[in-house]
Amino acid sequence: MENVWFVAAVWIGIALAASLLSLRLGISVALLEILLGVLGGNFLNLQTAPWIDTLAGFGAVVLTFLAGAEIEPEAFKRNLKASLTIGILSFLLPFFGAWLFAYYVAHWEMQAALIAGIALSTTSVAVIYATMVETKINETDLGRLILAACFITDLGTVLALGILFSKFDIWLLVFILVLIPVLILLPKVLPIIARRWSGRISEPEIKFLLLLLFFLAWLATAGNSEAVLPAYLLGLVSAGYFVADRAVLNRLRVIAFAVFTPFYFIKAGLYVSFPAIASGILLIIALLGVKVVAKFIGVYPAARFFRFNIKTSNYMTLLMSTGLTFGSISALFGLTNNIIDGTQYTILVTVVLGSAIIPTLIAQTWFRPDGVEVREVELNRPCDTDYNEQGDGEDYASFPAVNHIKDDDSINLGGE
Amino acid sequence: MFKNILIAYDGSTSSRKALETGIGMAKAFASRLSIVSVEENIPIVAADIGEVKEEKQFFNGYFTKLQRDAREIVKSHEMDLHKADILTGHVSKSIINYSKSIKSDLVILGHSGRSGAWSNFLGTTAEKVSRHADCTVMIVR
Repeated sequence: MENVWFVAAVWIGIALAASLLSLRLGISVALLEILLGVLGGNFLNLQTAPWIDTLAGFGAVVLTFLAGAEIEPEAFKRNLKASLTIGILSFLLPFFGAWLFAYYVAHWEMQAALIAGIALSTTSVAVIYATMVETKINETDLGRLILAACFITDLGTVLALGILFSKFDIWLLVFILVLIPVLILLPKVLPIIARRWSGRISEPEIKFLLLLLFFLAWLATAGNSEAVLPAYLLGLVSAGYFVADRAVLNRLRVIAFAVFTPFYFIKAGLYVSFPAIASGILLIIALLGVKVVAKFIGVYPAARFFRFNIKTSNYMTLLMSTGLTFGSISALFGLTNNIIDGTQYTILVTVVLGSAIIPTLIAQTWFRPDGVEVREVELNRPCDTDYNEQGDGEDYASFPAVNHIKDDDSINLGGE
Repeated sequence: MFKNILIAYDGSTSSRKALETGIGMAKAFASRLSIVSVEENIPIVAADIGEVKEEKQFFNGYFTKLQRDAREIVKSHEMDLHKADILTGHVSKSIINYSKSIKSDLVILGHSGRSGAWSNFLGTTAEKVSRHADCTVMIVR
């Protein structure tokens, strides 16, 4: 498979298959890309190439930026104390737990054990959000608090990844000296750029963001830090702007999910080896247990301290035990930089995938808080309203939600 | 005989037949008629929040249009809907819970909806609703 076009066709073919399966099965396309990557690596001898590694790297960086940009600054400020406490504990306990377990019990090298700590400290904001959407908990104070805490946890993860493996040399200093003013200025510059360039076919806004992401990624990696660190920080500081104007963010997501992230997720699955899963199954179960127990030790008491009831505290803790994107990014960072070997990578990614699914299912099945479950449709709107089946013509978030369904003939179908 | 009929409506051919049957029965028994649709394919394990938001927005648009069309059909029979809601989550559980919450005494649904591949392994929504619902369930073919 030398010809670059043929290789590109194979990888995009896999990405397309993942998309179609995702539509058919209702499973995330990212998860399916990883799983197809696993199958491709184990059975089809699918291999990566330098240009694929580059596109995968772009995918990780843009995905991390998008993840950071989804925080709601106002909700974060409102729940500052609780979200900071829960978020920091949710990072620290699993980080130390998995690190020490990998070092002392599994006898991994110190650096490899640190990667284990980082990869298993994460919380998947997206998994949590998807879980909460069903009950509309994401629209409540509890939901916003959980989401804000997750951003803090992930911030801990990217900071650890960016700092623990850095060389403290002149390049790191240059990186920091450039990063700080960019973080301060970006929220002020974005509205100006949007005013001047918004809606143009040449997409200067997107190119401006990509320029910042790639330039800072270069400086970060030159200082032996990680490219996703500046990306996440850029996302966080620009989140306030994107609350009001999601158009740029949506266009960037389209580009990322069509061209970059398939290469990243397929590549993440490519290095997972079935024999390594079979031989390391006990360690996989143990590390998953360490992650969940450490999250419980860290998050559960904090949730109880902030007066959440037992069921909600369990729910919150289980959700914060999930992981996917940052866990796989951390593991791939370790593998790419020869900090961990293929077997350790397989173990970490399998634990990450397990943590995306198992705590979510337990939380959904046994600990889901009673909440708002129904959204009433505005049927009284005129039928010639500009609706289309792509669902892109309306802000559906503005639809009225009802807490309880009234058993009352006089109820207004249009929502009151 | 039936005072409060609920139709599970996902736009599939069999759910359209369920709607027609429901309209006929509501006319015959002078019953209240409600419809519910359930968004089931929102990815639970996602890579970023935007992926979930966009999928949700897609299904919101799709089901809102479906329900609006359903209402037009009901209106063409000189009736109106008592309730019409879109839920997100597990389809059969959502239909059963919703049916309880509006105290419906009859749930009508098609024999095979849009559950697709999973129903081959896990059973159809119609099977699960008929097994677990408190009230009478009619499965339309």
